[in-house]
Amino acid sequence: MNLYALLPLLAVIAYIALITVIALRPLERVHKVFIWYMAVSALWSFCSFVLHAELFPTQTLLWNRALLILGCSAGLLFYHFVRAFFNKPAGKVTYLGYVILVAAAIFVSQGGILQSSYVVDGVLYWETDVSFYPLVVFSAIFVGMAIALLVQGIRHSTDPQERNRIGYLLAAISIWILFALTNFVPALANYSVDHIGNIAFALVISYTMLRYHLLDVRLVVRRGLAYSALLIILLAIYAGVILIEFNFFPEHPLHVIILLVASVAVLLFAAARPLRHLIVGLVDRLFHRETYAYRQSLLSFSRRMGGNLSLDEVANEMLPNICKALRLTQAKLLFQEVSSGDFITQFTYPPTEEGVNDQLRFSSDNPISIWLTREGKTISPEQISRIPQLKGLWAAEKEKLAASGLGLLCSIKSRGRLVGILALGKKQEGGIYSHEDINLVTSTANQAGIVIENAQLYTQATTRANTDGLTGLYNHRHFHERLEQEIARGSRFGTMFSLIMLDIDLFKTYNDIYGHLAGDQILRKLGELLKESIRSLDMAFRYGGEEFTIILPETRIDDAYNEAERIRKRVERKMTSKAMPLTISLGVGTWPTDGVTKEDIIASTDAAMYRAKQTGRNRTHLSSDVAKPEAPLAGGVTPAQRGALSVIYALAATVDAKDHYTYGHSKKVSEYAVNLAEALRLPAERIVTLQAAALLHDIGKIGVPDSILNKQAPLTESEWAPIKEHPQLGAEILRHVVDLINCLPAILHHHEHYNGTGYPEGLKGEDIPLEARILAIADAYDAITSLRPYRQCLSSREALAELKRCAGSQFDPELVDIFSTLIEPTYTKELEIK
Amino acid sequence: MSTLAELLRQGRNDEVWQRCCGFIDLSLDDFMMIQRRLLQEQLGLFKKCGLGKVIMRGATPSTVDEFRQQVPLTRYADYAPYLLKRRKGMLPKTPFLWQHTSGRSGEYPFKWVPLTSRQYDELGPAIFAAIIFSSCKQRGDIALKEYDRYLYALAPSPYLSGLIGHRIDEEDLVEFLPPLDEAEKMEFADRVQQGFKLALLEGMDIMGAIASVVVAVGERFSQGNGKIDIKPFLRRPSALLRLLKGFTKSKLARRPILPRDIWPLKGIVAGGTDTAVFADKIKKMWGRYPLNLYASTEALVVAMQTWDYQAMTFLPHFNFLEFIPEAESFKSREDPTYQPKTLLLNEVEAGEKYELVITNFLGGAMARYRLGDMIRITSLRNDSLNIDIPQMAFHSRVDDIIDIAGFTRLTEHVIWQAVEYSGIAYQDWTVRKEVKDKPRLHLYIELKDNSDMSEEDIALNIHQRLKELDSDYANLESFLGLRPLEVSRLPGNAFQAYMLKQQAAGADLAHLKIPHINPSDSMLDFLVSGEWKVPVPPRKAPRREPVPSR
Repeated sequence: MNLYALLPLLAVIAYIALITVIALRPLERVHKVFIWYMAVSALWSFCSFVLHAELFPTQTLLWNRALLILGCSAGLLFYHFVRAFFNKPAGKVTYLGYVILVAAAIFVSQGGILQSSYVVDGVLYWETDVSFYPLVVFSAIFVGMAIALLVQGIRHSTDPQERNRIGYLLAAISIWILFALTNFVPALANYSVDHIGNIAFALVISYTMLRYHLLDVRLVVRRGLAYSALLIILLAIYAGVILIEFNFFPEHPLHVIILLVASVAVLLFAAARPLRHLIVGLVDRLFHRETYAYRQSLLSFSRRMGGNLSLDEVANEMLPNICKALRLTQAKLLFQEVSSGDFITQFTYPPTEEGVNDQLRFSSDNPISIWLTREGKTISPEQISRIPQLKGLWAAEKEKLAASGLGLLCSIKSRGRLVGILALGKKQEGGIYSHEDINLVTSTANQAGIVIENAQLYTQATTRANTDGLTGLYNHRHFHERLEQEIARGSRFGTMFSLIMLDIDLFKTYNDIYGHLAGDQILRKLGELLKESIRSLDMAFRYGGEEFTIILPETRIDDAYNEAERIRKRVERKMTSKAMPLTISLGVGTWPTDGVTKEDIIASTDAAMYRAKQTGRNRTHLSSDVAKPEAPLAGGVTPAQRGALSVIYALAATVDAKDHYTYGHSKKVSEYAVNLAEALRLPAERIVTLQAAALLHDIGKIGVPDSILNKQAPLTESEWAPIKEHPQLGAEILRHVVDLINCLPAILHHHEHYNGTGYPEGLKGEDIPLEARILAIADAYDAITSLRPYRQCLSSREALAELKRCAGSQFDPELVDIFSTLIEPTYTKELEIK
Repeated sequence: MSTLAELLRQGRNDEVWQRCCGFIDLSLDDFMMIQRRLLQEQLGLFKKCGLGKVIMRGATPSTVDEFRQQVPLTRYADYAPYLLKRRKGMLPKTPFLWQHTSGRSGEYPFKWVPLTSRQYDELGPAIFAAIIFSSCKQRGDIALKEYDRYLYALAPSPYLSGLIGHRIDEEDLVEFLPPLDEAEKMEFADRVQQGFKLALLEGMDIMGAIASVVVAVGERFSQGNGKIDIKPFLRRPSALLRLLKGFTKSKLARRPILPRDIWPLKGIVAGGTDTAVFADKIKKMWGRYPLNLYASTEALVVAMQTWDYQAMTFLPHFNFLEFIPEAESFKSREDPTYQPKTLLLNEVEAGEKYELVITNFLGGAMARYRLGDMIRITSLRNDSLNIDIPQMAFHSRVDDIIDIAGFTRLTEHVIWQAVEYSGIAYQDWTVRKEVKDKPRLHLYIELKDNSDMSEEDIALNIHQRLKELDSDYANLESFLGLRPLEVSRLPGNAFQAYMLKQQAAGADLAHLKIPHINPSDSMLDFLVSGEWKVPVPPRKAPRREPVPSR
């Protein structure tokens, strides 16, 4: 056997092997047509082998005729295969081609086309007449039609994988054509070189058929070119050295030559790796041109950004590089919003002035979020319109996606969890994402997953450290940090900023009435409201307790005042809880006008806030106005106080009118309570509150039927019920009178027992507000010493003894002791008089 | 987005399959997620529109559970004040088209129902799914080709079938026989005749029709034994060849020529409640089973068969589906104030019958609407085709309407009139649809004591009256050659005996009488048996029923 027969033999073996491999899997139509193609090609190569190996030297013409017809059928077979590849039926043209081919075979078998044929030293020589050319044209037409179909397919397909697959077919046919053309090169025509192309063609197509996930064809071509260039360069250097050695130094002894050749080989081997790197880089640069650097940057994303914990920096590294590498109109990063769990746009490149409504948002139950989490792939708008799992998308969601100019969505996952979505715009040239593009995006997203998760965790930890757990606002520590930063910034750039301090009015009262859990809810609600109300550059903080602050960068005092008033009105409108209106008092200061140091500005703003409280609450005061005294009304009573007192007396009169037995009771209780409060040295404001509470403590008895109030016999269980409700009813009535809000704790809890057995809430010990404990003693004392329908009155001494007996169980023992010291002199005097 | 024709032309068959037929690959969880999501969208639309506020009685549900708890079940009467007047301002979305129901629908000559543009758009892929299933052999197989010839023998717009025709035409994928714009101007019989004439000349690949029409045409063709005027075919060698091929096939098989000899159809898509009845006959005549599509004016496409021609698979994106268990449905028919409980698709059980309740998606008007159809869940999945969605078959109508061959819907009123006008002296009657090889309208009648009329005479008489009263019923005979009425005489005192039996059993007033329409098997067994144990007192005078009210 000679060398020229070896190639077709190898081709026959390759075809048989490939047919076997493909036939072993479930066969679809395209596989069957491909097997048909390879079977014919195997026959063709076999004929060539027989001829070149001179197995039947007397039948050369016969075998050459078969070779000719089989060779010319390749184009038709390829066209047939391409149609099957696109799920198209063979079609009339294909069948016509087969008819023509059969006719040509008959014509050739009758002596047409091929005139003579012979083999000399394994080289095939043959002569044809002019009728050979129509046969060549026939084959060329089918190859052309196949290529046209492939090009049309790649143009219409929007699926990168499909386009890649078609790319392989185009690459394969290009190789085939290249080697087929050797038949028209006189120097190569007789040496069966075309079979190299046939084998390569069959291998490429088989790879396309057998593998679902193909390497990107452009990558394969680039690497193929680079390695070919490397091989050629190395071989050229090696051959050059040998030629120089032999031509210019013929006198060198053999061992020198061997040493030289071996040294060059070792050197080239050592240089091969860096040279390969260089050539691959050069070829990639040649193909990718200006996008090369960005692609390289993305490929090394993980290495460079691995330790980065700033989401800003990750986004700034990722988005511009993706945009530039793939020539995109836009790229966005969507992360999960903590409050809603929705994925929303957090970073955009190039930056745009998009409003909230322009942002991409995928709720956690959005089919796209679910699909991306589950599949972890990329998805294009075309796919969105046809994937059945996405049928649940709303019309508005589809419209928004369409309007967003979206080209591709890619999931960013870490440890199986969706941590972000990469939303890419369309390609600048209007093209379609290639398989290589998708690979690059996917690779970048895969690298970014863990980096982003780490950064998110870090951000969350930092945010948690700076955030008040209850309200979600920044905390006290962060307030001081930011205030210092603002002062530093203002000092450097000569800018100003304003500060708002605000406090919930009567929050303590609210807490006393409804408990601390309800109070926490109010704080949480106010936190949310402040977050919603402030401008995007402003920062809100929980300063402590029910006090909040807002830093307004680069804001003048007038604007800050307007802002504060807007917030106050919004809070007044929206913060109504349990029918009790909640309001805030605000103080506004400006740096540096109202204070140069941090402490100064806080102090002056705080003072403004307290002035707002003192002057009736639910209002805003400026720091600059604090120094101005509030104009008092006649009698030294502020307008707020005067309004409150008039209401109190009116209500007290109502209570007295209800029950003539209790006439004067409220007033006496009020006196006892005030005496005790004064003995305790309570602040004047609390004493005033206690006085009002004492006057009104039985206001809830309005709802108790007279028959019960005046009943002489002991009360039954059912009759006790309305009696026990009177503190709550009283609180309920007075809750709507803003000026009396402070009285509510005392009224609500004046029947609580020190040991927790009282009503309405069973509070115990010092959980019972002080005013309520005072009131309880005063109320009991007066009740015992007064005539009631159900019993006779007792003397002061007996009453005090009763109080002492119940000290620790019903009454606060310390208060009873103090009260006794107040009352004892009185009854001693009474005794003396008697 | 590429059209289906473009995708097919470019060989993107996978994408065509995914877009049209992909719903069969959904898991039940995916299916329910789509239902839940689209219901939420629809609730948002209902909340904003007048009709929604009326139908939902002021409720503003935001979840599936709230919707099912707060919104009552509805019937067309609830919508009639707005839809009959076509008040588009009241609707969730401005209608793209208005359609009305086929046949008689009891109290309304037509039920007008709006169709939104989104519903219309979604109709296309759904109908092509049916066409693809009707012509495929396995998953992903698309035998459909561009410009396949499609004989479409269904009612024109504004019937749903007509709108479906237009939607198919918009995709520019098939060639209608005759062209749709011409066909719409013709009478139904003429367009079918013209369609087959063209099919003989040009060939036919797909047929879409009511199953009874497919059978009727096939029978007529076979009875004519292929007597075809050959002259027009002389100028069309391909048509002549087709005819010759058909004749040769029939001769070789030694039987009369059948449509399948001439037209090797790719697929037949059939609607109508009787498709299953005619399936074998159609297969024998046309060489293929009809692909059953379950669609209605109010619900659009509910379900369809796949290429195994067994039970039907639900579509997830046209309606929110609820199922009233049979016992609950019956209870609510007895007591119209009773609100029956419903199940969702992931709660139904195989082998059980349910009344279907739908809520339109895509901006449609119907909410918790009782379609009036009983369906049977045949299995919870299709194991042979690996479809993970419960499978259904049409069972019957639940109301007092009897549908015969998809041609006519007879109400109690019409049948009563026919019985009355026949002049037959009767005590009482009851009627129901029975299906053996053909759908039959089976009337059970108890005559007065001395009447000796034969069942055949009674049937002939009432049949004539029905033909006079209902033109669609008349078409059954003239067009399909179908005389569906069958009469059985009941023994004397049958109805009274039943009533006494019920009284003795302490039944409510409403349950003493046998209903005129669709009595149950047990009721009929009792009537027919004549072996009642309760002594029947002699009747003084024949009892006449008042004018029926519904």
